[in-house]
Amino acid sequence: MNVSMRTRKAILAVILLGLLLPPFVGVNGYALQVLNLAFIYSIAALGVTIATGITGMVVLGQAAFMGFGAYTAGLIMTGLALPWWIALPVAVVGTGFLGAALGLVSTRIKGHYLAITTLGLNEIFRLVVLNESWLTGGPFGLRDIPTLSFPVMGGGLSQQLYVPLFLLTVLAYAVALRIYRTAFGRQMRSIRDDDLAAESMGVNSRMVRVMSFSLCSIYGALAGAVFVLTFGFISPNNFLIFESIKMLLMVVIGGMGSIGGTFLGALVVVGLPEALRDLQTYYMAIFGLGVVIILLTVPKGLGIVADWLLAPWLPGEEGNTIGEVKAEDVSNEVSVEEEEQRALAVAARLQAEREQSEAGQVRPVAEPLLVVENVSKSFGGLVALKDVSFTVSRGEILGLIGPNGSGKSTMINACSGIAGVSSGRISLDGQLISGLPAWDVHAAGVARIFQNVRVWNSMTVLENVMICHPATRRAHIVSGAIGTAKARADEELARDEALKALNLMGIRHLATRRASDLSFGQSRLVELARSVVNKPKLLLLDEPGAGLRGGLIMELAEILKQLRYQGMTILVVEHRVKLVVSMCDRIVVLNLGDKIAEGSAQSVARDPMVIDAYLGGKVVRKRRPKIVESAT
Amino acid sequence: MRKNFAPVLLAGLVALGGMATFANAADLTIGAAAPMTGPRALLGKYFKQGVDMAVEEINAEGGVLGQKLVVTFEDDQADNPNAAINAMSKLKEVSKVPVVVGPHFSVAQLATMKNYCDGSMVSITGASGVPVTQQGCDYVVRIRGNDNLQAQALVSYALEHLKTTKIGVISIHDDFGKGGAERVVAALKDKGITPVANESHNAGDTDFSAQLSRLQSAGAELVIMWTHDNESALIVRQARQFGLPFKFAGSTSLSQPAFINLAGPTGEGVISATDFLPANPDPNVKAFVEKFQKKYGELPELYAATYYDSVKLAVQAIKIAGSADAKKIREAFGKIDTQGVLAHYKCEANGDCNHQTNIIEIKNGQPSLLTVVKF
Repeated sequence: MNVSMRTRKAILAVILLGLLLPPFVGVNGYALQVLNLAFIYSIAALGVTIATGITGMVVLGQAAFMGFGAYTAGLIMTGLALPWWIALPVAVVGTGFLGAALGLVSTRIKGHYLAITTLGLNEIFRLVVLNESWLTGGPFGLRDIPTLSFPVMGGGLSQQLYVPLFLLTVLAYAVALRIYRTAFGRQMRSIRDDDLAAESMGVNSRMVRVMSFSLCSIYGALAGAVFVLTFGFISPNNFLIFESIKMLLMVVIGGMGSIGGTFLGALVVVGLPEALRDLQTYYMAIFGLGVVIILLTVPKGLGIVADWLLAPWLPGEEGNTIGEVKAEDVSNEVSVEEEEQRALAVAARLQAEREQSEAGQVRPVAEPLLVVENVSKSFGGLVALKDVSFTVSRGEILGLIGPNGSGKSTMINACSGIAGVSSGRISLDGQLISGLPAWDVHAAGVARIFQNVRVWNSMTVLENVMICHPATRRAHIVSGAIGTAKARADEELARDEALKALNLMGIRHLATRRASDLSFGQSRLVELARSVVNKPKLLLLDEPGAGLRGGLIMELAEILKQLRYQGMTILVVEHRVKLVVSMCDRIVVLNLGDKIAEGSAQSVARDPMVIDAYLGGKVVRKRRPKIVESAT
Repeated sequence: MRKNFAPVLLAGLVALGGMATFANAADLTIGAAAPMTGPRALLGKYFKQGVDMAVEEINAEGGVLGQKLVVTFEDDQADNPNAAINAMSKLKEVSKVPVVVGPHFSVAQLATMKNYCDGSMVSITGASGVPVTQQGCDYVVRIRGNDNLQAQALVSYALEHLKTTKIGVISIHDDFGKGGAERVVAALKDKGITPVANESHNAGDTDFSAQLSRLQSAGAELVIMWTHDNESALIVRQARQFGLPFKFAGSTSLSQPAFINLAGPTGEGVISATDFLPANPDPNVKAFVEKFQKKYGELPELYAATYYDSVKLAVQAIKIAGSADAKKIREAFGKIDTQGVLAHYKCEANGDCNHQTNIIEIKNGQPSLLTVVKF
């Protein structure tokens, strides 16, 4: 597999040139027409790949978008007698807006429910087109639509349209690839991998879902409009639910989320039945068998071939160009011992750095940064938080402790915007953040890590961190796709900052790895890197030490000290008393939703209520509270 | 490596598909686009039975232009426009046939017109959608009456023989029923009559008392039904149970075995229009039905009869043209004036060749021919 990127580009170029040839070497019109149809469907299926494969919203109604685009273009050309170069863009843009409107509805619906809803939309579309025959021609369709022809190409309609259709397809795929690896693509993928993490790390999931739905419909409409220009006839039967399912099949055969695979999937789904036609009665059965065989032998879809070829344009693979990374760092699995040694080395380095420049430390000031006032939160009858108030001062590390079920994670969720509060208010730097969506809380300056590591598995470590950088937060699809100077500069900035953050965590060498390939400890460090890359005012840590082994705990402690040293304020939930006591300036103790104590580590540890809460019974309190320290 | 299996298997499948059954060079090949897969594959079977029987007879009589007649079938999946386009394109570009029988479904027929109407092939079809011969396509030949014809025939027969002008209409709420009811109302309007009531029901309804009582209070004497066989039978039974004296007439559904069995004695006297009636005493039909039963052991139906005729007509046209050139064959259709199974064929410039339909009545539990309405 060690074929250089340059060679792969060359192979791809040869394949593309080869695909341009058929009309010039006397391939018959029928084969060309089948290929034309495959190209058109590959564009429509690409929309499904964007929505379903990349963003994770199962769309089963793509044929309706294709039909909407087709009918819009057809009606503009027949009803209004306008030329195709007006009809095509109007159809595409119009359907894009329709898609966005439906996307707004769809963000309220997820998973299977969304799939069923889009299936319903498809059926509504069919019925409306069937019944409103004064406009659509009813069951006999829109006929006599002027088709496009390029007499210069010579030959029949299929010959003339082959090259333009092929070029359009290549363009559509190039745009999709570009979107995929720039800011908007990363946000779509982060939502698919873990939408909760995406939202709390600054991805406006509502906007991204709406735009992704709209992109899906735009690709559908483009395919539909081109279909009309190619065949000059459309009927409700062209856009049945069955067609939507066929497009989903193309996506699945191509490999969920693989852009290049979608093209191969379309070739198989459109082309294979035609190749088998001569088997007569059983050809569709053989086709079905073929699909099963493909899915059994290459369960990840044909995308593995396509993605290998397209690697130079996909994120992660291009990583080899990041200068300092050595090949063996990328490829070799790091053993546990090496990992341990590395963690200790980083810890030592950070400590040394800090000691060298102790003078520059930012001292905690008494000014409150996060103010939690009378916050209550109940889930139905269960009260998770009861009237909790506390403040976190600027530059301070505040520990939030309490037994299991005491409401610590709910508190963190409330502060990061994932869970709303039932009453009370939370403000950051004077700005009210309770009630804001998670991404706005992130923008206001709150970043967090999760108790169970939530990295975006399919993406590279570098991408994981880049998403959270504010330069690419407002991801513009169009400027990203075109690659304007500003979009490129933003990408560069986000990349540099992300690499710096990885460097701080001592895992820069992992930048091009897929997050799914990382160990638990490494994932934790990635999570930490992405939560500090935007230099948040407040960092929320939900049990950062959970599941980490000795060396990594040391590293973690040093990293947190380093962050505090740089002036970051931290709210940490942690069970390891050693870590809490060594790190925190103050501690707040929760029990069953109540705040039962607040103060320095020493004073809290002596508090009888805390001892009761942790040990669950009355304790003669004359001794020193060693009990608490050894209790965990 | 497991991975390497996929391309090999794929290549194998394609190769398997590539083993085309090439016709002998001395044969004269015509094409057929029929529903061979999908939910309507059964119709495709009847279609093929009719075609095969015609081909057998023709070759037994010495073939056409001294050559053996061969038919290449391509699947159009009934009403799937894309499948039909590909099927027709393959017949045109690969098999290079001058004549195609089918596609049968109007939507498939309309979808493929941009493909063959350039003069490369003549399509002989039983598609009954009105627009099929209104598209300015010079190469389509239709051997069944269009949908309007049945409604018109039924209405004129009813007005003439049943001597009533108080007509109610009931139809099912789908494209079949809606389209049919519209055509009935239009045909009535041509005769200066407005129906006294126009009722509809949903698919799967079992209780029609509301519609029947509205028809009764509107004073209907004849009720024209455009609905499927099960529902028609229920409507007729319930009307008789309520003691309503309506006469019933309607679509081809009312001549189908399912209707006759379900309606039982209440179906007696119900009138309908149909293009093909196996019990037709016409000698051409009788001969066809006998031959068909002998060959396949079952009664022929509309598809078999239509496409039996289509092949016979194609051969006749080729013989008149004296060549297998599509343009000459199409010209030859202008000279055809012959009796077939469905009708007496005489082609107009737009390609319509069939100008008649049968009016039948249920008598003693059997559909029997009342009259042939000619236009």
